[in-house]
Amino acid sequence: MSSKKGIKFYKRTDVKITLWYIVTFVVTTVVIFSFMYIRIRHHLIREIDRFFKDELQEFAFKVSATPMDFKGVIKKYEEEIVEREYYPIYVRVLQTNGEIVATSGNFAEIVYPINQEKLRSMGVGSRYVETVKVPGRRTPFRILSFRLAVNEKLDCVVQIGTRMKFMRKTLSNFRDNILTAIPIALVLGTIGGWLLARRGLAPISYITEATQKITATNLGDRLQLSQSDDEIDHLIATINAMISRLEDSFKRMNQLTADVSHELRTPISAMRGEAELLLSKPRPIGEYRKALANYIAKLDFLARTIDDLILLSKFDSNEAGLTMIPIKLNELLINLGELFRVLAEQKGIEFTVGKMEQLDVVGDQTRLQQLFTNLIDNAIKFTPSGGHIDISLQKDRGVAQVSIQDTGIGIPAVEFEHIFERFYQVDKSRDKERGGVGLGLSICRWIATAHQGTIEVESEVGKGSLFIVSLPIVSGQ
Amino acid sequence: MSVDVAYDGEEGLYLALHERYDLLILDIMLPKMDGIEILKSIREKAIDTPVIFLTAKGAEGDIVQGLNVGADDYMVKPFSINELLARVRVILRRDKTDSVLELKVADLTMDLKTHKVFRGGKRIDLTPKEYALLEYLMRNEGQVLTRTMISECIWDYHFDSLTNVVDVHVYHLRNKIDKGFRPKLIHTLKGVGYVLEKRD
Repeated sequence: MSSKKGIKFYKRTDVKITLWYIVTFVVTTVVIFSFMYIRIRHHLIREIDRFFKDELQEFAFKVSATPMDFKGVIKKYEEEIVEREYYPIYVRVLQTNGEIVATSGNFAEIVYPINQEKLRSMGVGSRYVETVKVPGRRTPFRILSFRLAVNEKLDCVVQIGTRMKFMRKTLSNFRDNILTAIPIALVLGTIGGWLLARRGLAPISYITEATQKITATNLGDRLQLSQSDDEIDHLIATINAMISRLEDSFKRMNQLTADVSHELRTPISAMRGEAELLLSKPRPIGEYRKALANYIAKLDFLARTIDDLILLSKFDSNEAGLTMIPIKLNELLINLGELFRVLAEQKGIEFTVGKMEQLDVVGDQTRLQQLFTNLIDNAIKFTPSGGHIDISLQKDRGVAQVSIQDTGIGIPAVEFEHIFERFYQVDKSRDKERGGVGLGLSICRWIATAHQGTIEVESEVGKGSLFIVSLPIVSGQ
Repeated sequence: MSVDVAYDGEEGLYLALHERYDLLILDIMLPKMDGIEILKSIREKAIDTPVIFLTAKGAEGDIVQGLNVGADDYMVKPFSINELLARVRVILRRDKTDSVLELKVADLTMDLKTHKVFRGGKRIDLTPKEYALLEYLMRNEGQVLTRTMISECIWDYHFDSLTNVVDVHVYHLRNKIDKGFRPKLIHTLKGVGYVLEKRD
């Protein structure tokens, strides 16, 4: 798998998952088996203690049957149970002061120190059990001490013990079984873990390979969904969505490059043609001057188009560097109105500044001037002589609302959503003769957006257009 | 007129502090020390030599900062040489007309207290913006004022609309103060701007 090429073995995800699997498996097994071992051991010891209880009862019964003849009873014991293979019984009887009254032969052979203090503190009928290591014997002993007191005469401590050999054997058998089972389980677990990891990661390899194959030339391709609707499918869907977005922006970029080239190429070609014509024969100096002045105007226009494009790309990458300062919006608009009124009047259009509420916004002065200039300029361009343009400012639901209303040629409703797109012109031929390449309104929208504002249009063909720019006002107004 | 050129910020600051100049033109992005720092240091030393910032576009925050620390004007690259020269000339002669009460060019007079304007003894009515425009032209008598300078100064307008809007305003003003009078005082410099002066 190509995705695994060049990845160090111990860094591969399937290897890591398998290792984790093994570690988890081993730890779990060890914990479970240790627990079981301890439980079984505990259980076996309790078993011995119960067995002691039986023996003790029997012993007491026998002693009471043959009054106080401990030695006789023990002798009988020796015949019966001392020779048992599993759990041979060791028995002796002590006085409460620790003096040995009677003992079985096997008890006499082992060293079990008499703990005087403990004997003395024992109440009537009380007992204690302990596991002790006896010098010279490999297996430990379990010994129960019981204060048997029937009456004044019969008050002694009976000690019954046994070797724990059988229990040890049971436990070591259990341990051996486990130690054999663990490696087998480990091998099976490792193989299982490895297969699971590989199976789980197979789609990842597919995703890696398929994604690597996608470049600028095949952005139309998509990754195949596995139809399992799991996390992997969601990942694939996410990657597909990302590729779609890339494809979109790629298309837009290509379209933009084509538009830009076209818009820059046309005036440059025209200028070149004019220059060639001008140079083809000597002309009066006035003609050159006129042509050069015309060139400056055209170059200014080209420079503006380039500036606009730079500005838009800066807006796109959020690097527009707006200088936000408090601005008296009404003053800015009144100044703009006074500046541009003459242009409208020159064209025979009535230009009025309507209601102007005193409203402050925080914004970039130059950019806001650009925004409203573009709108006023458009209004003047698209309103015929005898028409009327009005600008006004009012507060509406907490925002400053600037309205620029004209009685111009209007915009068809189907175009509303397009007019803010870059290089979009409602009617190429009609817009061209009025100057402009279709960037003005997209810049307007960007400026409004950058000020947390909006721009909306209402229009009817033949009746006129209304552009409404809404900007957040400084709070406290 | 002589010009010293400094090729980095530290050299520029040294020259500004040790020589006497009529005007400094400062870039913002300079090697070793930026223009804003230089201007701050100069103003801290109480040197009030006029300063024009010349800066690459996009540094608008810098421009505001520059004006705040005491620049007199700024221009954004790429710029027209005519525009720069016009601004330099206006700044150089600014001090001379600050404290007068009346402006006078040929038979055109402007009373700065009463805001009345007379041409050849005849009262001329002007709108407030026309008055401001005329005052700007008269204070800078003989100096070329570009369209951008005019729109910035009179309408606080900093965006180049690429329209002939300033020309239309000047045309209206001309109609009031030059129409029917001799000599003509407002002159057009093609591709540059306007100048008000008495020409023989």
